[in-house]
Amino acid sequence: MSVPDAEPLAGQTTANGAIIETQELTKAFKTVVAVDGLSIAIQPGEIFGLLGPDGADKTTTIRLLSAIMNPTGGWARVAGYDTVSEPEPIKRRIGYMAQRFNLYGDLSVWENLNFFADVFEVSGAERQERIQRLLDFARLAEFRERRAAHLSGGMQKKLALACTLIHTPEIIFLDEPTTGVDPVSRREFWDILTDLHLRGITLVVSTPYMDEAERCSRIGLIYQGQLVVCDTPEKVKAMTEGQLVTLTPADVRRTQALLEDLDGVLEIQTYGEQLRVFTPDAQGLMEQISVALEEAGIEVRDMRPTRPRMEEAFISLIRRRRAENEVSP
Amino acid sequence: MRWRRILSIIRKEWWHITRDRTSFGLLMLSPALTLVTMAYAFSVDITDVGIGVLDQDLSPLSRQYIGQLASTDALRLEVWPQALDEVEPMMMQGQAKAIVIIPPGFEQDLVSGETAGVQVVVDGTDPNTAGHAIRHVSGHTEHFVKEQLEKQLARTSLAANLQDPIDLRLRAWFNPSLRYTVSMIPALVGIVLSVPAMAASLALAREREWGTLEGLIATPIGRVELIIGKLIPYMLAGFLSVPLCVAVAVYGFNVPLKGSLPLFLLLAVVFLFATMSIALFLSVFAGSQQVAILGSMIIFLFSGFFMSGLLIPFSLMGPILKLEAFLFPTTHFVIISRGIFVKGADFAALQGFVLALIGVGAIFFALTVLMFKKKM
Repeated sequence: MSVPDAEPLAGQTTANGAIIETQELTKAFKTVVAVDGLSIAIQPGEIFGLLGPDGADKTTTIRLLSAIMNPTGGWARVAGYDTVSEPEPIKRRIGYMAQRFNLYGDLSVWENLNFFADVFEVSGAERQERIQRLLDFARLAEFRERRAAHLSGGMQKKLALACTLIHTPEIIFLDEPTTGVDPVSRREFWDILTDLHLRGITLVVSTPYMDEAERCSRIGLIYQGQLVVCDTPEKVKAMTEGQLVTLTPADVRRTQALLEDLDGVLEIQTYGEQLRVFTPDAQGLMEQISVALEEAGIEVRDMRPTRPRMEEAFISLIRRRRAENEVSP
Repeated sequence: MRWRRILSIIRKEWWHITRDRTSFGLLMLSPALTLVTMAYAFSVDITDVGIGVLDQDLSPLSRQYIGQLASTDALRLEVWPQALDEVEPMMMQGQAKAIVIIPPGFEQDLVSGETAGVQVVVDGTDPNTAGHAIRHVSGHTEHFVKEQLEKQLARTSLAANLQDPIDLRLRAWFNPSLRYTVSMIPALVGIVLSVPAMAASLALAREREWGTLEGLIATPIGRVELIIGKLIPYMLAGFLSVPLCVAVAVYGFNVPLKGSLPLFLLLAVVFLFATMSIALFLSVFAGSQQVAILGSMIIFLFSGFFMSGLLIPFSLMGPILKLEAFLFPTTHFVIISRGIFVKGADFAALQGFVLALIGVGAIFFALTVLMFKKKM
C-alpha cells in the first residue's frame, strides 16, 4: 500500500506546537449547547479519537474544526488559521469525511475521484498517478467504472476516504468513518488510517466504538458537549477507580442486588450474563462475593480479576460525570 | 475564480442531468408538451355557440331575422322553445347559451316604423361564451336593421343620399385576421420555457438532501464558481428545448415566425439566464427537493403565468404587483416572443425588455452568490 505523503508543514502550528487548537470552543443551538467550552490541542501527526455516545455532538465538533460551521463562542485554529476568519486556507489543507456518505451516487468511482481532483486543482500527470494510487490503496481499482451508489457500505467509506486524500491533506477529519461497516471492513479501514498516521498525517476521528479508541494516540471523551477527559488510551483506562472483578453468576439480577449491598463495591456494570464490579481491592471482594452468593444459593461460573477495558472506563467516567452534574447542576 | 473548477462542476452537473434518461427526456420534452396542451386549451376560437329562438311573431320578417342569426358559424340554432316558460328550464339545463325572444308584433312594428323589441337572455355563468353570443347577436341584428332601413328608404326618394356618416375602416396589423393562436402561442412559448428552471431549482436542494453539499463546502471551491457551474448546465439543458418549442408553434400550430430565428434563440438564452438565476436563488433556501419543486411551481407556473400580463393586463395591476411582474422574466419574454413571432421585431425594438431580463438575472445571480454560505 502506498499513500501520498503529507506535504511538509510550513510552520503552521500554534505557539505550543499544536496543529489544531481550540479554546473554550462553544456551539449553542436554539435549545441545546452542542459543544460546551471545548479546549484541546492536537499535535501534528496524532491520531486523535473523539469518543462519545450517540448524540454527544461529535459531529458538531468536527464540523467546527473543518470550518464548515461557525462557533457561537471561543475559537479554533487549524493549521495555523482561524476557522471563522480564514476558512478557505484551512479547506485547502484538510480532508473532511462526513458521517453520511457524501459522494455522488450517480457518478462512478473514477468520476468521483476526478471531480474532487478538479475541485482541488490536482492536474497533469500527478493527478492520474494519484488517482491510480488511491484506487489501489482503497482496493477499488477493479470497481473504477461502478457507480458509487452501487458499492457496498465499506467500499463507499473507502471511496470517500480516497476522495478526501486526493489533495494530500495535512489533516483529515473523519466523522464516524466506520459506523455501519462490517467488522472486517472496519479493521481494514483502521489499517488504512494507521498507515496514514505513520506517514505523518494528523487524523481526527470520531467514533462510538471503544475498541477503535485503543488505536488512537490520544482520545477525547465527550459527554453532553463537554470534554470529560483527554489523554492517551492507557491513561484514560487507568483513571477508572480501583480494580475490576468479572463474574458470570447463574442469576444476574439477584446477584446484582446482592452485590450492591456489599462493602467495597464502587460500581457494577452488566454485560449480558456477565457482571463487572469496580472495587479498591479485587481479592478481598472476590472472597466476599463467594460467601454472599453461597449463602443465597446462587451458582457462579468463572470469577476473576480483570483489567478495565476502554468500554468499562468510558461508562465509569460518564457515570461519574453524570453524578457530578446532578450534585452541582 | 478558476475555470477549471467551474468546468468540473458543469461536467458533474451535466452528468447528473443526463444520467437518468427518463428525467432527462422529460426535461427536454416538457416545455413542448406543456405548449401543446396549453395551446389547445387557449387557442380554441369560439364558434358554434348553441342558441335558442322563441319566435312569437311567426311572420316572414321574423323568419328572415332568424335566418340572418344563423347565417354564420358563430351561432348555431339549437333549441326552439314554444313558450316563455320553456326558456328558463332550457337555460338551466344549459341547452342553449343564449335565447333570442321575438315578441308578437315584431313585423308590424318594423314596417310601421315603430321601434321593434327583441329580448336576448344570456347564460352569464360563462362570460366568454356569453360575450361571444352577445356580440354576434347584436352584430347580426344591426346588419338586419340596416338592410330593412335600406329597403324602406329605397322606396322613397332619399335612396340616392344614403351614406354612412363615418367610414370606419379597422385594420389589425401583424395579425390581420386576428387569429387568436397567432398571438397566444408565442406568448405560451415564453411561459413554457420557464419549465426547465424547475429542474434547476433542485440543483442545490438535491445536494443538500444527498448530503453531498456538506462535503463540497469543506473544499476550497468558490461560491461564484459553484453557482456558475450550476447555472450553465441547466441553461444548456433548457436551451435544447427552445428549437422544439419553436417547431411546435410554427409547424404544429401554423404560427408564422416573422422575425429572426437566431435573434429568438439568442434572447431565449438571456431569458434562461434570468429564470435559472431565480431557480438557483430558490434552491439556496430550499431545504429539500420537495420544497424546491413546490416553490418553483408557484413561481414559474402559477405566478409566471398569471403575472406575465397574459391573463391580467398590467393596467389592472397595483404598484406592488407591477414590480412583481417586472421581476418575473416571463413578463418580458412573453413580449419578446410575441414581438419576434408576430411583429418580426428586431433587437432594437426589444432592447428594453432584453435589458430588463439581464438586470433581473444579474440581481438574482448576485443574491444567490451572496446568500449561499459555505457553512452548515
